[in-house]
Amino acid sequence: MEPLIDIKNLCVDFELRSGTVRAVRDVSLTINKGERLGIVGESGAGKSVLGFSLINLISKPGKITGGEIIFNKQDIAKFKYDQMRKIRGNDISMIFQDPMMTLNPVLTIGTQMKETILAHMDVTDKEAEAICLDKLQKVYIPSPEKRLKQYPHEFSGGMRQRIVIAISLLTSPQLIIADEPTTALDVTIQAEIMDLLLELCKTENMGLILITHDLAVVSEVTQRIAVLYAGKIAELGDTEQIISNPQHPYTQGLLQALPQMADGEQRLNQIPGMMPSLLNMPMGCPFEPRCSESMEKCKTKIPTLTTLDNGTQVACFAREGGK
Amino acid sequence: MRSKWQRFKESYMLYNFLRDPVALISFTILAILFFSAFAAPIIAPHNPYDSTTIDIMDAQIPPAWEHHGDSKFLLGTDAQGRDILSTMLYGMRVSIIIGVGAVCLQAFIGIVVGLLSGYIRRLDNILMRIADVQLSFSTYMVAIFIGAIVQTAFGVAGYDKVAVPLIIVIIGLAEWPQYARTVRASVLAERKKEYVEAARVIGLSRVRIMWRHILPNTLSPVLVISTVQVANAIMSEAALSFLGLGMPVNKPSLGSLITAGFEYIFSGSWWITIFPGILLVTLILVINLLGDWVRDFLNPKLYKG
Amino acid sequence: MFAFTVKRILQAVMVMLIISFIGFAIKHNFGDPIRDLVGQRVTPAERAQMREKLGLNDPFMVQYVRFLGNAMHGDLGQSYFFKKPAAQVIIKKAPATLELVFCAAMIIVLLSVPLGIYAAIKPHSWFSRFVMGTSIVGVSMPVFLTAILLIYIFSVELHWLPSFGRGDTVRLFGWWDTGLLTWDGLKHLIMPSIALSSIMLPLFIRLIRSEMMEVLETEYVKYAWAKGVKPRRVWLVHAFKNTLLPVITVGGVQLGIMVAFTILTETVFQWQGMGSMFIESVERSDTSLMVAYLVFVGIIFVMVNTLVDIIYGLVNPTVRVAGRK
Repeated sequence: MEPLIDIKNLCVDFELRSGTVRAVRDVSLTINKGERLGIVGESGAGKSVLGFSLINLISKPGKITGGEIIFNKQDIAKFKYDQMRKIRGNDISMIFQDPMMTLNPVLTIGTQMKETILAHMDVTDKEAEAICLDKLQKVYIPSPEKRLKQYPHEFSGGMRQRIVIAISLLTSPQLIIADEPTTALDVTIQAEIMDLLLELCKTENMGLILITHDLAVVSEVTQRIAVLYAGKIAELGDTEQIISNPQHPYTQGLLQALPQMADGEQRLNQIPGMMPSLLNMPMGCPFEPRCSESMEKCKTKIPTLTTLDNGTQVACFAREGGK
Repeated sequence: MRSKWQRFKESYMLYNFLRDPVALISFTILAILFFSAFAAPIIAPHNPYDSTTIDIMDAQIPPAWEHHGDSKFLLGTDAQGRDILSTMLYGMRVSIIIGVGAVCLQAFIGIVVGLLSGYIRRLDNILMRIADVQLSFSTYMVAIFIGAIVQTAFGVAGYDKVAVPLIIVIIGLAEWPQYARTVRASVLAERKKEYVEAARVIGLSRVRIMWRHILPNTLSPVLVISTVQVANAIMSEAALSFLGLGMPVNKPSLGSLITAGFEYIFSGSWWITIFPGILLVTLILVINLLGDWVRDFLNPKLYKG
Repeated sequence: MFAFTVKRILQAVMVMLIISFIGFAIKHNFGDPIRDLVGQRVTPAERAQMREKLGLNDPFMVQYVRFLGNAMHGDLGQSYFFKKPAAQVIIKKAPATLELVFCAAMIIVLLSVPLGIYAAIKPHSWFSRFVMGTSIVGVSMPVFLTAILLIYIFSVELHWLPSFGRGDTVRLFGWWDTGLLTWDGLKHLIMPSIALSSIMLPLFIRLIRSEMMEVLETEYVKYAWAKGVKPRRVWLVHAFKNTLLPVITVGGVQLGIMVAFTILTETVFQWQGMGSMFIESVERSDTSLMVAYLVFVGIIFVMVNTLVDIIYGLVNPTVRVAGRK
């Protein structure tokens, strides 16, 4: 089956005064139609940059400097502005993190919804409005006709995120990229929003890329996970496999760091050290300084992804024997 | 321990400064202007205020490179026979003194009011109301009004002896709200920070907290507006002088020189007003450019392109 | 919205009271109402009589209240120089100033908006740099100097434009003398309007540019790009509306500076408006007229500021709701 989106050796660089920072290093991923992939990592690992690079919306001074992104048989990484614009919000929709900041405070919800439709589809205003109402109902927002005339600040955080999800559905996209969609919301609302997203992806048969640092969320919603560390993929495989049987030392550390229900008191597990500054990357494996299994080889050579028996791919010299 | 001078030489600020051509050139020009102004008694070719050296027969001579020019008077003479170059240098000195003096005064008043306002809730309302009203009228307007009142109240007699301090006071009183608001905003922001709470818990008095802890942190924004305010003060003084509410004719600033020379434009003696005009604009321009650099440097996120 | 408006109006009234108080204090201490009414040649006995008749020996507050009462009826005292009621003099001169301010405002709005937006969208183009460069020079030139320069270039050297006065005017509605309807009047308006706008224009260009640049960095603008909205719409609908808000606020404040500058501009161009009238009244110690100007200008300010606040409340939907609650 042809993948929906095929990322090959993607590199994204930021030209700073103090030097060039490579935020995404040689990342290769595929997502199939209707598949849900989670991209997991700490802050600064490059997850958001990776997400934004798919629609070429990286904040300056960032640029795609290598690799390909094959979508609908074309390399959209090389697209000019007008070509890219037709894909954004149309074939690929994006959901940002904080709905309060995402919606323009001085424009009505109706305006912000209709403009998405009118930017991509040749329909009348009335038809556009009908589509908006339909999608608002799909995200379970009551009395949608009234809502169209209201402003963002008149809604609660959860409602706003639902509206943002509704906006992302307007053009029946093939892929939704959700960048930390629940981080800015209350815990109780988080679950609702994730359930909604899951349900919609199934019923509308859309692909989903869920970018988050929250392993719990990812384990419930996604089918595959890619673990990112310092701009590189450390581990890539089925969600079930990675959660129950993590291979990369970093992934193992992440899962151990989750607080467990235990008898009696226990110290929280931590991965010692910090992610290296992207300006000052170590020569070899980026995780090596914090790794308990590091070998001499790890200090000088960068591991590439190798496939293990159970289908998971790992970038680790210590696991390469497990073929 | 490196000395303060060494730390300055190695500082990021100096590094940035030396690499910005606009800042460097502006600073050099400003330094030259300042120096010329204060060295006026030494370097000016004539003393325009010594009536024994002025000859009315020298009146309205064009600049040296023009047809009827005289190399003794490089930029020409005015209607009384005074050398334009010399009057410009003395005039610039007066303008600069008033500009800097007025800013010191407004900074002083503004900082005091700002500190009190930010720290003592009860005074805040009244003081800020006054500041708001003053600001909404615009400081130029207030300066003109105060100048007008002074003029009406005391007439012009005995004016020239007290002119400079008087104008400093007028502009100082007109422009303090800007400082007060800035300082107050800083104080309100700092108050919320934990080190202030810590100081209070230790039992330091309010005054001490204000003076030793909060004040140093408000100095950065004060510095940012100070450069612009000097330019503003010089402009205000020029405006006041132009309206006849500023420096008197026998001890002029650049503003009153321009005013005095204006009528002669129509009879062809353009240099009397144009040269002081160019000097005034240059002076204000370099101060503004430096002010922009200072502001860009201290607040990069707010104003950078 | 209603409560919001009422609050604003109350504040306006308070400010007017303060201004009228200051104005009256000036008049009381430095003015001479008897001279204003009957001139200098009165005997001391007649003076004392008049003082009694006019109630000038009453306590300060009583006189102040009387002053307020008179002011409500449009009586702001008598101008010594013009031998007419001060209010009348001002109203006759007001159209000249208001037209000047109007033209200058037009120039500012019509130029600063497109230039500011362009400079924000393409900050590194040579045109933007040129605009910003001239802006900072413009800000550094005092208004009267710009005026003098304009006169020198266009009147004295090129003889293209007249250098003083208003030119031919047409009387509308029986009292408003307008220069906008005659070619000659318009020619006279050109340089003063340009001079008057010369400092504010660069200020607004810089303001619009910096506000817009900030807005262009916000999450919601980024989201608009992510939705694939056409660039022109992102700039003019999403970004500009948000830029407008702080610009409106600052704009209102700048009006104060504009009025101060009319005093300077009118003096240079011998423009017979309220500004030059004010300076002349200072020179002639015509306190009634001075105070009348102060009060009149105060009214204008307060009205404009209140209006600006209300407009802001209308444009910004978040404020509206707060007022409603």
